[in-house]
Amino acid sequence: MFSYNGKISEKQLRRMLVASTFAGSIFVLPYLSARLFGESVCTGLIVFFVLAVIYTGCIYGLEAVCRRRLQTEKSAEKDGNKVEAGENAEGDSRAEVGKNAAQDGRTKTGEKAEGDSRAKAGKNTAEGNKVQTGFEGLLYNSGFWGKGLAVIQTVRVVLRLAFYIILSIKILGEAQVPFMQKGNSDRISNLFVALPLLLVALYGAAQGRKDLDWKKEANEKEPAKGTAVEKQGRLHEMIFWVLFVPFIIMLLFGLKEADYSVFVPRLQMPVGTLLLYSYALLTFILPVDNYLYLRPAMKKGKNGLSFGAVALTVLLAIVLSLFMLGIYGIHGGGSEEMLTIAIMRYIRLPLGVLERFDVLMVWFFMTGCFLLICSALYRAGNLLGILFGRVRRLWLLTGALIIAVVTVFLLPEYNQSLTLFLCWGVFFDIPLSLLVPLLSLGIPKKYLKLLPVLALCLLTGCGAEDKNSVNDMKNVEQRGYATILLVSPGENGKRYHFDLGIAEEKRAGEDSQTEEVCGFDCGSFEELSEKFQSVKGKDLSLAHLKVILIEDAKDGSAKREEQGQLLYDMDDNEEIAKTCPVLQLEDRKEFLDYLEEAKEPAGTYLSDLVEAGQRQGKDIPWLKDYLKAVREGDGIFIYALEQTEEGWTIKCRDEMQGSGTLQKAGE
Amino acid sequence: MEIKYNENNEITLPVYENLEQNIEALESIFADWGDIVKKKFVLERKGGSIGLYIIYVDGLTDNEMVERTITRPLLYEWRDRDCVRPDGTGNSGSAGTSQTGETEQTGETEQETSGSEKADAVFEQIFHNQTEAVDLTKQTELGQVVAAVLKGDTGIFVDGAAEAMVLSTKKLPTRAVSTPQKEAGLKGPRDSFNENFRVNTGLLRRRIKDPKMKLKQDSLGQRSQTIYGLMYMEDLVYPSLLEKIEKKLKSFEIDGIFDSGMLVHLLEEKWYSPFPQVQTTERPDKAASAIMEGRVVLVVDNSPEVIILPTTFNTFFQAADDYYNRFAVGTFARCLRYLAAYITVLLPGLYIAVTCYYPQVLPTDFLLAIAGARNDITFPIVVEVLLMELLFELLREAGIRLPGQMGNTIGVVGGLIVGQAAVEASLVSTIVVIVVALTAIASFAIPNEEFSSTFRLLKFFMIFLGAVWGLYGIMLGVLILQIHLSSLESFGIPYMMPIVSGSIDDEVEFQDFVMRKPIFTMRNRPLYARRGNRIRFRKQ
Repeated sequence: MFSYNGKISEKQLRRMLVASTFAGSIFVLPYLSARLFGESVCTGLIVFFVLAVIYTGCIYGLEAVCRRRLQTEKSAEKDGNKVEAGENAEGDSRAEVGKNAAQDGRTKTGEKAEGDSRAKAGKNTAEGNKVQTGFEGLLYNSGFWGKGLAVIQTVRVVLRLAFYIILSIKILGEAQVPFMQKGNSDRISNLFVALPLLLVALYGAAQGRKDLDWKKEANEKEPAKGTAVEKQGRLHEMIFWVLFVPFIIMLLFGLKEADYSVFVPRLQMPVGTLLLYSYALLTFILPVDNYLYLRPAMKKGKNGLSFGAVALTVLLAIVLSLFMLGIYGIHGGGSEEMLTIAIMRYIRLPLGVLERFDVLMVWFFMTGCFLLICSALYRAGNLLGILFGRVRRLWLLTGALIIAVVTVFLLPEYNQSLTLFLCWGVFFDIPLSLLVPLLSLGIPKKYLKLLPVLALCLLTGCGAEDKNSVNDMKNVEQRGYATILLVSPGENGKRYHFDLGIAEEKRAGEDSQTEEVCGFDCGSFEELSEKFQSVKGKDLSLAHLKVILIEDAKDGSAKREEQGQLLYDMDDNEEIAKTCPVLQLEDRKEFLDYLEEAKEPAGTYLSDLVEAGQRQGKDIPWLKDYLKAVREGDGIFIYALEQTEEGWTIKCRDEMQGSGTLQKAGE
Repeated sequence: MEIKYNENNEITLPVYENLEQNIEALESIFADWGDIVKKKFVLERKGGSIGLYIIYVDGLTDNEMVERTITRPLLYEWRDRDCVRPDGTGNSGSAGTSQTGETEQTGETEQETSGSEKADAVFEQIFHNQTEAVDLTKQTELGQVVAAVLKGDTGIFVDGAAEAMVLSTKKLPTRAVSTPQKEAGLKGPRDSFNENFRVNTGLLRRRIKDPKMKLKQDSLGQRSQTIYGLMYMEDLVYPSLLEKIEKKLKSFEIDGIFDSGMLVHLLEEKWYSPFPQVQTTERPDKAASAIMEGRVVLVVDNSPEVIILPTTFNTFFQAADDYYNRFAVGTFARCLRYLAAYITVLLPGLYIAVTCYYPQVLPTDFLLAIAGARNDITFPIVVEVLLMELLFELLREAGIRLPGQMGNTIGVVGGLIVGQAAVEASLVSTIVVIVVALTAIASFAIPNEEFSSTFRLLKFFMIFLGAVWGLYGIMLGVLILQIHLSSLESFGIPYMMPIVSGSIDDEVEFQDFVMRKPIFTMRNRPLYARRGNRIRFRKQ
């Protein structure tokens, strides 16, 4: 049989590395690359890719050196060149001390026995060495560096874990909490939403027995019931593909939306700055260094496969980032912290299967967050195990999680934390990820004096809101679904006047529903929701808008500015689909009269008109096109809804240039 | 006489030379047994008479067989003839002829032979020559004889011999081999296991005529002494797997095992898991197929289902007729079953999550139809769904307990009339009725009832999560399930094989997953079979 052997396969190793690397970079890379590189984003990401490949190569090389070192020591032990200084923790025969008599640094291997802080090394059985080989084996060494290196590693991993928790809270806050607030309570907290994810991650990381127990269990007839690394391997293998689902969908349905000019390399910034920023981005592929502890647990297999997979993953993340920026725009992307989430609102599924699918994608995004937290937690638990010895695995993991959560509370909000994490990565985390394995190999004393200089170089180089209470949830019929939104300049000192066509519910046996018309003067969409609720007794839902009509702003630039503000307000409103068509309207009253008298659903009628227009070749803009035009300066054609003797029709009226300037365009 | 039992509830007495002592002991043991048949005979032989005692349980034993093979030959056919020892020495003065006619001896009397030796000679003579039974064994322990009698065998005691004979005369009350009730299929054999251990092993032997198929037999339960048998292919099964199963079976003591279902719970490693970690089947073809794959089949007496070890998540979606149908049909059926499993677990929870938290994902017309249907409903959606789901579970439970026709009636009455009435009374909306009905239908599409029950249970977990956290809650639930499933193992095999196979051999492991490849392309046995002995199909 093949389980219970404390080993993972090459495929499992590859998936563990790829999943963490992809999830760790894809949520941050599009936004940061746009923010850091601007128009040079493609060039910057190419340089980042080269650096990533070099960095991965370094990690792989270091691991190979570590593994070879331990193999040399083991063969030296076999030759009888060993010293035993047995130590028994619980009356068993497990602790033996071995060391190599190498001339340089006296590298030892071993494990701490309970209640004993002294250095121990060696393994008494071949099975016992299954996990503790390579870098891990060296790290357990309590020689010159031993505990110190373990402490450094623990701090690195716990900080990484804390950042991943902040990232998850941010994603939840962006893509989950608003919808829950709509459906459940407007005072629901991020913590209420994030806590279950942390508990699930703890459950995931706690699977299997502590790897170090193998040493004891190797002496027993019946081995452990699956070690933790095996279970982690299986878990990653199982949910690996779920991580990629949203991106596959995005690629499939977003291809025609993208502007492919972002894929052209440009250089509009100093080369030094570009290099520095590219180097900084390496912070987000640091889970690659998990290879150091995963590789020794791997059965026979080629290292090249996982190396290639990691490189391809980084490349995929880069291509997807550029793709997202092609859809969203570089300037817009640089100001949208959660671009990966926001971009899903810009893609529409064909066939009308789902009206919107961005909220469904949260499902898959959270899988990425879970994998990040789970693998970092597992790693932190193992490192704490090195520091504290034979403490129960669950306690170690809980301890690591508590430390990380406390760190989250100490850190500022997401954007600042991201900057802090980036700085930490640039000046400490990336160098340490290479330095710690090097140190674990043992450094000749003559080079030790260089360490303070190196440290000096490094140094000179350089929130969760808790609310509570959950009210009754909102049922589907407790909302008013607007299908038409008509915006015109407000009166009585208010910025906007909103006219809403609210679809009436469709009863069984009825052929169609019509819209009920109501109008409000409001300063914002929040005010609109409040007023609607107080008048109608239902919550307003703008998620099912079929069309947005804007009363024509043809008299002066002031109104055009207001129109720009309206677009930004709509962008901020998560309910309004960015794939909703936007039309100008000349005569509001004429349209309202039609709406009140209509015998058929006007929203569906207008939606059909838009689709018919698109089939005729009319490039009718969606809200996302307006937003991109405002942000990026792209030009779009503006279409208007006009009444003719036969009925309503959509005609092209203007061409809008960047920054919302309107120009007359010929048909 | 005081009967001594050891801590394993076994009688510790030997078989006495003195027949009266044996009778006394047996009388004590079987005191107040109305259905015990016991009789002392005197066998008339030339050299004298021999005391004989026969005992068996009426109802478990083939009376005719006892009469035909024991009493008639001993009492009539061998009456007044010599007793001759198998080694040729006689114990009487006159000549004797053996039943087989091989030996005929006249000889001097052996006055010097001791009484004990004489009795032994008589015993051997009866054992080898005078009975017509084939399945006849010797026992020196009284406890063993009693255990055999309790299983339907006949105990035969000879005066002066410190041994007893046990004649296999079992004729247990059993029903005939019938069609499978829970795993019916359109194609394939129609026979199924029943409660008789020997019938069950016979059904498997009938399918695999290979001397390498072994049957390791033993009993479980201190009081029930339930017979069980491990059936496997000697050259295919991993010895470590067999050892592990045997060790597990020996690792506990229990009063009685009355069905394989009880044993299942004792064999599972994670008792708290809602997922069955061993598979049971009532189809002999399925069990035989498992044996041919290198798995072990555990046959338990009194149980119409056998246990297959080890098992994986995927095997629960495999139905026997998948392999008898064309591969495209089999594959399509598999896909449907997987889809059915997702629907069973997720649909009600998703309905709640989407309608309460994310109505924007639904097409507008459909959403308005749902809103319209719910307009007069008093209860919130979650209560509405729970109400209907509980109603369905009640109907299902009632349908099982009621006799056949009434069970069907309650299904129709419940499904149609109560559902319609509930909608008209504005207790539930039509959409919820559709959701619950679809979930119910999907749950029945899963071929294994035990597995299907797990999904029905998990459905309530998902309803809770969907109501509290929406789609995010459902995602958390799915993650919890994935973590749990990836950590499960069944006797050393990861439960989620082949998804978590670690690329041992993708081609082999995925040949019988959601897609069932054509038979001729499934050349290798799955991973259960011993390495180096995995080829099962060759083209000539």
